[in-house]
Amino acid sequence: MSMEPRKKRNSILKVRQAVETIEETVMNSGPSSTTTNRRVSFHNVKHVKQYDRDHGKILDATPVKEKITDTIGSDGILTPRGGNMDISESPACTSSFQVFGGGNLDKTMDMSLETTINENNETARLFETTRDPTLLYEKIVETTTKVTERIVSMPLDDTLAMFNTTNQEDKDMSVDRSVLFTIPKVPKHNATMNRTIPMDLDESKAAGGQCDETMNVFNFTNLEAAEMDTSKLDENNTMNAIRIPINSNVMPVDMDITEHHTLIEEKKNDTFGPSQLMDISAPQVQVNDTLAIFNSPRDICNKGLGVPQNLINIASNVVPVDMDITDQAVLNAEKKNDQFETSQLMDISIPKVLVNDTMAMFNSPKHVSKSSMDLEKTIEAADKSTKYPSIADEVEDLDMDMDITEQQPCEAGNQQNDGLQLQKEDLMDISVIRDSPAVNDTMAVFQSPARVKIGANNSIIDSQKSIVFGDEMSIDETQNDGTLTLPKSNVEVTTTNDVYTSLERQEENASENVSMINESSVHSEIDKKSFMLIEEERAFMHSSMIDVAQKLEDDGSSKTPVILASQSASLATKEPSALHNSSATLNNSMELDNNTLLKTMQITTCEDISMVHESIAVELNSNKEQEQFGDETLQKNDTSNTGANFTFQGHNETSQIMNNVDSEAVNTSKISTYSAFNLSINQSISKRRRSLLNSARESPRRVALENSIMSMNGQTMEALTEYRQNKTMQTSQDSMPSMSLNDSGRDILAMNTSVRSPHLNSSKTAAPGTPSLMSQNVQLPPPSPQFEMPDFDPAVVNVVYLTSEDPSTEQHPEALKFQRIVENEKMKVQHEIDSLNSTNQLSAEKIDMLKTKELLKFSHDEREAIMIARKDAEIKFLELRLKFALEKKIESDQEIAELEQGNSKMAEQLRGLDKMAVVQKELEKLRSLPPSREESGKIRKEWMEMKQWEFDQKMKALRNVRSNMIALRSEKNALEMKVAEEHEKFAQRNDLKKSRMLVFSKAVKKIVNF
Amino acid sequence: MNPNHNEGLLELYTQAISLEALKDAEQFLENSLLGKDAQVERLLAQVLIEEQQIETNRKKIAQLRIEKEELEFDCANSDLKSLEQMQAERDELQRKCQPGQHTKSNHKSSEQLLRMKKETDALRAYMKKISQFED
Repeated sequence: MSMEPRKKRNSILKVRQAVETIEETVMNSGPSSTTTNRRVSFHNVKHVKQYDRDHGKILDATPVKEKITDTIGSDGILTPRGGNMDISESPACTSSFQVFGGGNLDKTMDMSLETTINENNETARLFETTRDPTLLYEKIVETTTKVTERIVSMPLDDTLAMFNTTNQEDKDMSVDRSVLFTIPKVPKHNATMNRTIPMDLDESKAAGGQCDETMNVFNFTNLEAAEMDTSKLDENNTMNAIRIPINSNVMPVDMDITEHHTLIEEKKNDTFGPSQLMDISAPQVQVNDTLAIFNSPRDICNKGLGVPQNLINIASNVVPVDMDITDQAVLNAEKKNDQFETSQLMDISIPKVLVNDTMAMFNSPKHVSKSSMDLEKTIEAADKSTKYPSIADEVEDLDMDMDITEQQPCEAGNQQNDGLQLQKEDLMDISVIRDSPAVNDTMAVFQSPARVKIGANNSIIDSQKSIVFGDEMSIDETQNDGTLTLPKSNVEVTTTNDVYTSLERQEENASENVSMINESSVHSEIDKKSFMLIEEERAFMHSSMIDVAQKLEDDGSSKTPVILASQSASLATKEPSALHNSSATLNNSMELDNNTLLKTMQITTCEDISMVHESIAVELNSNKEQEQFGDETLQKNDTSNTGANFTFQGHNETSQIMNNVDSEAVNTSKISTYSAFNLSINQSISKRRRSLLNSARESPRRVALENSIMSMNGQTMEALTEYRQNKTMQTSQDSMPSMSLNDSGRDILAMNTSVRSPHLNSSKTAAPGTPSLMSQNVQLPPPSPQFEMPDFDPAVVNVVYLTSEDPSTEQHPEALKFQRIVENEKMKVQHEIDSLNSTNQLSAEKIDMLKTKELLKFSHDEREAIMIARKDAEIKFLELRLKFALEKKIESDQEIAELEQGNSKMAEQLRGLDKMAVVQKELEKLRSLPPSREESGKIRKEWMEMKQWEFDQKMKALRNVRSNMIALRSEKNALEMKVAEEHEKFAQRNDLKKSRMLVFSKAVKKIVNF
Repeated sequence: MNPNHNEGLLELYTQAISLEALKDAEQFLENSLLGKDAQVERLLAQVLIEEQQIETNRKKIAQLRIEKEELEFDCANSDLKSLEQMQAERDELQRKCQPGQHTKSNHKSSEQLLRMKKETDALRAYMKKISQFED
């Protein structure tokens, strides 16, 4: 009871104020013309603030004035489900028509219009989805700006809001008029619909106002639903664009259908089971969402484009008719009551409002609505919480598939929220419809500014709460509501910004994920390589450790380890210890032991084994060493190092050395190792010494031999080749006699063989061989009983260039000359020999032996002297040849010079012929020059003489001509005389003839007359 | 050429040198130095080089002779006499037209002189014809 008077007071005060303000505005407006002017100004213009999309702020500038028609266009585009909601509203109109006797034709006409509207909305939706994602962001930004503008405009003036709402009502009615004017049977409804002011309390207009209010309610609810749908579409499109952009257009159709079904079910159940409706609808939405996620694109296409779904829509449209009929009956009853007593109605209406309010307070749908609002809040909070960790997960995870799977439940959550919001909206609609007309009027007054806030769901819900609970709750509660609205509005702003930023974050995260994936792939490759390198290093270290272990074991067992090339540094540290071990085992007193220190380590081990152990021990050690080599080969093959292979080969040879016990074999193997591998590590002092000795002994000798052979061959070959080349060149010329040089070596030998005696041996021809033969004769007995001197060198004896190719041809003149010289030289030498024989003390027998070339009775020194004498003889002969050659060369050079000189002269003469033109030009030039004084005088004199001669000749000629003329004249005169005489004779003869003719003619006449 | 003649000469050289050597073989051996073979080879090489040059000269001489014949043929077929006459005339004109004797006369007079000279030459030719005709 204490609660009731407070509520009454508050409600009374608000109602009175509202009524008074309305009445005052209506009363004070005065004539209708002034009121129409005010409406026109608010009707056409709105204030729009500019929004900076890049910085996410509203610019501090004067707002721009725009026409309100633009907002309708934008809302129409953004609200594709308005057509669907119009379906529910149109049955009310159709029901009224049926009451007044409407037929089936009216239904079909209305349905056709509605269906066309739905199609347009769907096509617009499709068109929006096909656009680029950038355009979607633009739409989102525009919607946010509009929402903020309207929220800001509220606290300025309530009256402006009221007039704005009225304008919107007019717009909504304009849409309905186009539909209703088509039906002329109901003129009253047309008259009532044309009026724009719903606040009039005239009895005759109450019914029309109620209809308008109901239409307005549905319109606002449609807008809200449409806004939600757009948000869904944006989210769905952004996600589906990544996956299947073609099929993304199909999703919203299915969602619309399911949502519509949920609305129908709620209406059927009415107020008895709203909680059950909530429970039932939620899993349906979840199931549908989950199925939609996992369905194939073909199934989605089939569902979206299937014909039966259209039939389902038609069936669903039929259901609300019954509800509308009941509402209209209630309204009509109220109208009847109002007609009887206006004053009583006013008094009665007020308590009815209060009663209805109190009833609505305790009715279940309001409680349900409250609980539903709370649920929405919790769900929204859950959505927000889920969004942020999803973003974090996206950052952490590298795989795109995981990101895609994680983003799916966000969509499902959003869809669930959308379904719940739709249910809430339906509940609100039901509550509004069932209230009394007076209550509806009051609700409309306070709800209309809320409907202006078209945008986020939170704003609408909060405003509805404040309006509903403001009438019924105490002052304290209203203040609390007022305070709550502010943070909610802030939340709205943040949510819109968060949505925009979240989308940007998703894009940024996607790009980051891509870059991270690329980096991860690169890093993975690098890591693989590094891992391989690390494994190789580990293998190398392992092998090195094994080697060290083996070394330690070998040191412990007083054995020399096999050392690798790569471990030369460790060798230096190990050698002293190895030497120490080896020296410890040996006896210092023995010389052989001391000598063994200088040998290789392998040799020391062999000697130790041979001295200390038996052959069995040797075999065992060799087997162990082979095992070691085997392990090393395996390791080296794994590491695939060329250096290791090189050392492996060295170790093979060292293994051979170990197996061989004999010292000689070891020495030979050392030499072989030295020759094969100069860089072996296990070189000992003895090896070095031997190698040095060998190199010192052999290499100079070989080099010297090679050099001597090359020099001798080079000299001879150069001379011979040049000589032969010249001969071959000469043979190419036919006009010149030449000598053949193709087979000069053979020619020389052939000539020598022809010169030699048949009893001589061919093996004794070589000149360098004579000392060896002499030495053999000294040491050994001669092979034949007679010792004979060797032949002379054929190259010396034969003068090749003086010998012609063809023996049949005449000898060359130079050859003949050389023969004469030889003969003369023979004579001289013979005289010399005779003189020596006379003075010499030698016996005649020796002299004869010299002549016969028998050296048997000569002593060794004498034979050597004779051999040297033969060489001296060759030298003398060569000197003779050289002298002759030099003389001939000089002669040939002189001849060449003479020939060249003569040829040059003749060439010059011939060259002079080419200069003839030049000489001729010079002559012409000289002739063109002016003559000298003497020459000019001479020229003039000659000219005068010649002119005189010419004159004389002319005169002479004239004289001759004159004489000839005179003679001719005389002859002419004579001839003329003669001609005259002849003419006279001729005339006389003619006269005679004439006379005779006359006579004859006379005679003839006489005869004729006779 | 017959190598037997050369060999005969070599034998004679050997006898002469041997007789001289056998007088005192020991002294001869002491005086004779080693390396006779090398000396022989060296001289032989030198001789062959000279002989080779002789062969090249011989070839060159043959070529030059052929060239000489060709040049003589060309000179016989050419008009050297006319060239000699032209050169003689040139020399004479050059001698006459020395810079000291050259007169600086007018262009007109020079043209007149040239015309006179031409007429003189023409009349002289005519005179020759008439004289020949009279003969």
